[in-house]
Amino acid sequence: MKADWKKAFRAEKDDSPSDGSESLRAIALDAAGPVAPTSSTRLIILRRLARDRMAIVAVGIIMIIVGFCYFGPLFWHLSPDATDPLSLVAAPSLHHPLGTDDVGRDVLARLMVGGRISLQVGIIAGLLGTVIGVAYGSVSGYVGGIVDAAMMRIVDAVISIPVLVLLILLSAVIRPNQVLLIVVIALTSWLIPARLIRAEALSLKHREYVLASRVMGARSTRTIVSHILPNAVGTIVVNATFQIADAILLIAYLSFLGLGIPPPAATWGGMLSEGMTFLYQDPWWLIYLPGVSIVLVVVSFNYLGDALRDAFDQRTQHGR
Amino acid sequence: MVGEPILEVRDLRTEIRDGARSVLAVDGVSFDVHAGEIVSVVGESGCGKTLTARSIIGLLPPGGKITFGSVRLAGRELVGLPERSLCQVRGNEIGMIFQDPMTSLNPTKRIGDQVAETLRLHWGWDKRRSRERAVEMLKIVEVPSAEERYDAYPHQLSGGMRQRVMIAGALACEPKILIADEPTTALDVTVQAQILSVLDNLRHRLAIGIVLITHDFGVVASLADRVEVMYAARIVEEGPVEDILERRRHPYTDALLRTVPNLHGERAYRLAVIPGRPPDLASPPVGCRFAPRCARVQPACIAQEPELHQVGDDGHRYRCFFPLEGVEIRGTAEREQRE
Repeated sequence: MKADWKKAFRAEKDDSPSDGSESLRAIALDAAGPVAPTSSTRLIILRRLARDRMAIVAVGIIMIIVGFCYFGPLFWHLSPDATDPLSLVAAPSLHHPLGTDDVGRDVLARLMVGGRISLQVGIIAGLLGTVIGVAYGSVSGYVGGIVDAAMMRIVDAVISIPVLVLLILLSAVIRPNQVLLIVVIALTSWLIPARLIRAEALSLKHREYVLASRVMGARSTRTIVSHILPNAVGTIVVNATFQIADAILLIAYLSFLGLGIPPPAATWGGMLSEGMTFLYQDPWWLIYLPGVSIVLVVVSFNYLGDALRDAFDQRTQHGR
Repeated sequence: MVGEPILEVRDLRTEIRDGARSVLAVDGVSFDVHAGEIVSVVGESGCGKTLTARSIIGLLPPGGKITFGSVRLAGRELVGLPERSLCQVRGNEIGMIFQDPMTSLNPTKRIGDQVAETLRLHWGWDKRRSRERAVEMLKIVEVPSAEERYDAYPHQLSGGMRQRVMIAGALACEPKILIADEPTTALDVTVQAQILSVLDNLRHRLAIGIVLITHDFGVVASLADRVEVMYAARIVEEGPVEDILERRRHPYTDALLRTVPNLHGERAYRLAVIPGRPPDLASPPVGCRFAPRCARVQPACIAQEPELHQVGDDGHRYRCFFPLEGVEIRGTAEREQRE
């Protein structure tokens, strides 16, 4: 009788025979197509990025500037701090291809060395801020409830403090150096990524694979690290890029205001600030060169961020 | 079934609290699962099937709490175990698979690594060793060219393949019990049959007990050994599958079975429905919970809730004062006449 029932229901479900040949058919059905070559998500995204011309230009500019700042001094041996009293505010010449400043220092050499501070402080601070924000936000969003509410109120409180005022205060008290700048910028810039990642975690934690991983016995830390974060990687990478751009701009502000790394160290913001003295006079090289450098780097990082966002976004996949 | 059951659920009560409102979503559910046995929990949406499953593994949604009863796995009490110990049970001694294999796999991880994850988690195996075993598991669940598929991402697999991967992951640590929560609902019918046959093979090969949660009597008929019919948080009828299908006593079971479309019945008939809606569990009826929708309702049904009555000696029990007697399956009689 039971067998009859089974047959009756099977017949309604499908017309497959009820013996072992089902499994054979299963293999035949699913193996019909060849096994697709495994291409990781990372490759897909890189490929999409490579198709974006603006992204290529942005990456190119960043690479050129990095090369200029770090490898330039290998080929251009003039010291950035050596003064040349015989040629103050000298226009570009063979001896000084980008001219000299008001105490006769070579602008090309200073531009190279000054960029290092912007780049290394900006990149490290941006990444550090993102790391702090990601850790904070993912825990807050994943745990949820009262913990989340408390953690987010802290973010709200800290975000209401104007960063520039805080930095001015700090540099009035302590003499800034690169490490201090990195720490301070990171500690004030993690708030935005924290909020973004929290929102991601809030939505990702309800995905079935997160439940599935808990059913498999994974603890919270493991679930966050191996299921929440990899799925938020788009948001994280894009945000990190913007964080770097913001940090570079912030360093330029500070140096411009004389609150960054103190002179005689060269910084782009500081060079721009010194050049402002000559704003209404002839020497354009003292203003445009550091100014354009700052703008190029910041804009490039922003474009890279935009391009990365497009590359990670599934929806724009077919449009490109 | 002879021998000690692997899983014993006794008088399980699970409460869901949402603010001031509290609902007893699982109310006094008891059943046993033996090695190699498939026990099917059937019922309509919201009857507490899934919450029963999630109570067993101790992963309730926010506000959920087991208020009474016991869940014993191979003699060990699970209710009241600290989260840390439960983490060691989940995936290791109890595996679970879900309805929708399209969303149950992490899209950013290779499927093989997801199968191997439990091995690294519970058995502390290194990458190479767990890879070998994961490939072996993929072969057991009949994933073709398992070696190559190990490195595939979920989006490169069909729904049926993904469900196989889920099963492989759930069984990698050789659990004693597999809970399958509507494992075939999201799959199309031909793939359904394949997944069911995989499950059927596995319980014999690995001697695991399977709790199969479903609302599909086709699945029940083709796979289950025992059936628990749930209605409004309670078990209303239970017994061996033949008894439930052919000699059902409870009007709800009967009504549920009559809603199954039948190719062999009369040509033009309206698809049967059960009138009304399940009761609000925040304030369940005093009497039989099915009374408001029951076609055979009597005054006694509304006054008092019936106990589980036993018929025969193979554990067929029903919760009804006025049971049906020897219900014939619609269509079968005609078919037999024809043959």
